Amino acid sequence: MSGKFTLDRESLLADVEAHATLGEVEDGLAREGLTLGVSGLEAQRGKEVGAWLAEGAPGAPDPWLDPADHLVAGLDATLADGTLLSIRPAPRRSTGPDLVALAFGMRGRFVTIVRAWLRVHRREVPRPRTEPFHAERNPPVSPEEEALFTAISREL
Amino acid sequence: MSAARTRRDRYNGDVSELNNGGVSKLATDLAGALPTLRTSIDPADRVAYARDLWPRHHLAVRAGNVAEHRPGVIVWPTSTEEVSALVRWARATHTPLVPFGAGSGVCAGVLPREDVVVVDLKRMTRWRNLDGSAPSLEVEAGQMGLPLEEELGRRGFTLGHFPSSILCSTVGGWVAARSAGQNSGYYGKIEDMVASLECVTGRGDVVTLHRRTSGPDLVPLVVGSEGTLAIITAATLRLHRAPEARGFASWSFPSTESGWEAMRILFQSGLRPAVCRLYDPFDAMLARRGAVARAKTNAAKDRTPGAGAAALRALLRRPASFNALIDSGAGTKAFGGALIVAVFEGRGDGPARDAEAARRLVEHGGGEYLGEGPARRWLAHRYSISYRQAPTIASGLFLDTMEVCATWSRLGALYHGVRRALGESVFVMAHLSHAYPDGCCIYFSFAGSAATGAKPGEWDAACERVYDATWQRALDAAVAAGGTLAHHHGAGRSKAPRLGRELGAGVGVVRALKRAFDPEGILNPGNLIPPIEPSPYVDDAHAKVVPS
Repeated sequence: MSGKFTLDRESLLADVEAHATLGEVEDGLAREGLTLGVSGLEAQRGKEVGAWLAEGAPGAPDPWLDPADHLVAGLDATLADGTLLSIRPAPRRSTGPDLVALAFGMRGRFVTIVRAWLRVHRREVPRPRTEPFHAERNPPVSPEEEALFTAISREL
Repeated sequence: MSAARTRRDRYNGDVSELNNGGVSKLATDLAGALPTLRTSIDPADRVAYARDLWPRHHLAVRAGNVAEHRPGVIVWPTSTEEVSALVRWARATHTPLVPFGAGSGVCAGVLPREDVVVVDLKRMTRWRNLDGSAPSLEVEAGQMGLPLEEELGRRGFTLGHFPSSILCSTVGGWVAARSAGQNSGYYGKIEDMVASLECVTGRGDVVTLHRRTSGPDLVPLVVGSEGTLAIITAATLRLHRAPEARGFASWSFPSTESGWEAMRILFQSGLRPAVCRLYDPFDAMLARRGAVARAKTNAAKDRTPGAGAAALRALLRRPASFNALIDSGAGTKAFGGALIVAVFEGRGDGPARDAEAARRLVEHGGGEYLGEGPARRWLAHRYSISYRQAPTIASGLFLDTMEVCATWSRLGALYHGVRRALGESVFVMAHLSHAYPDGCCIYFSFAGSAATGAKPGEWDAACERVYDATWQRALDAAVAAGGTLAHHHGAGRSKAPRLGRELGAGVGVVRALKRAFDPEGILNPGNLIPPIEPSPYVDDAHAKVVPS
């Protein structure tokens, strides 16, 4: 591996340091016959994985097309006071709120990502697709949601 | 009009005839503030809403302790506005509220007391918008599961969510507990189906949270929050066209391990069987025999009343040797090995082609093809096994299920670690029924009895001690193996004391979320989040009962 990520081949998960770039990760995966499956990767090769996840992982596979899959299986992140939040990798869980949501797509508002366990795909295997879902993927944030962001920031 | 309805109406807003100080005052205050809200303090209702289906409650009932945790009042709002008004009143009066779906939870998510108002959402069942072009459905939280699927089916759609509790669970309950259905291999869990959520926070604010594929998304925080952050009042759910066709396949394996390796290969090959269930050898033997047929046969036998239960109680007093025998090679061989049943859904010949592709992969991996029969039989009896608890409990035993989850690379450690921990004190079997490309859920079923030496008068208390100790060991083993404490039942009060073992500092984060959503702490207090101080809400949860 590149030294910035390790591979759990059995689970098809890459344990990636946040400061690794997408290009570094993808090149390392390619040597193993694997990929993150990100579309438009060339334009984002220099982007660090932590920043990419905080932006909502643009170009990542659409989760609505394969509901049994996901991108982030677990992550480590630090809170503003330096506390380490560690969410162990698992395909799914029901132990309260999914705290990955405090990191993914939040642009660093609540936590700073340190590392993440990301789903990787075999290059030769076509991605499964269920039926299309014609819903708006990123509707605007409402004032009520924004108020909750503020309240969460205050309490964390 | 039913008798129950008549009773409720009699007490609605008129509680002067009752003579139960605290409860009466709570109901009077509530009726004064919200006179149109349907309420009840009927003793029968208060008993009915005193618990969920946590199996430990059943032991208490068997011991004669019926409904120790009765709420003060039960209310049935009919609109989001009523829920909002109720929460604002509760916030102003510091009255705890416990949201209630259909009561099928199994982790003590409902454990009220007399100063609590239980909020039953089942009168909120409207379909607000069926968008056939998306397709999606905005539906209120009290909609029950089976009528939802039946009506969707008549209109050519499916949600694809078929939990074993579908007969006694609601949309809101599914979302609150992060429920999983039997068809999760294709349709995902409930969190994979929610496009937006309408909920009322602990401030009384009505908010609609939108799922965003690459933007800020609060939906995953409320999904699985078990009534502690907000009361879910409606959800917009992604639908699918109802499947036109199904493909079936079944295989046997020499061991459970070789069976889950086949599941891993299937899901990592890009195949998505809607149903893919692996049974360990003993569970497979039960599945092959057919649970329904067996029950009817046993019921018809002319036998000494109670003899079978007595024999089983004696056997389960020493479960370790029983488990060892079953886990041995001889036991595996005697039961015919492990079993996978798979069901593919879709259109045209797609499911049949997928089943054929799966057959090639699995046979290459050492599975013996058994044809379509076992999978078809499973589908025909898919909900039968979930309603067998009562006779077992009544016979003096206890039983429960534990669903944990891990990545494929940790699955062996999880399976053997938890199985060993459970097997010290209970008879255990397992199936794996929710697989993903990166891991799988293991669903342990176990049955136990009081330890050797328990006297008849202390039987139920002795059962509780074994039950609590068993759960503690098994949860610790799950965390030690790198697994999660739960995959789809939630944490409730029963697992709350152990939540920190998995989440670490995440427990403090969940507490912070609680303060952000519910600053007065009125929503289902004591549930999910481990108490910092001893709390009456968890006085019979596991951690306190058995010294570590």
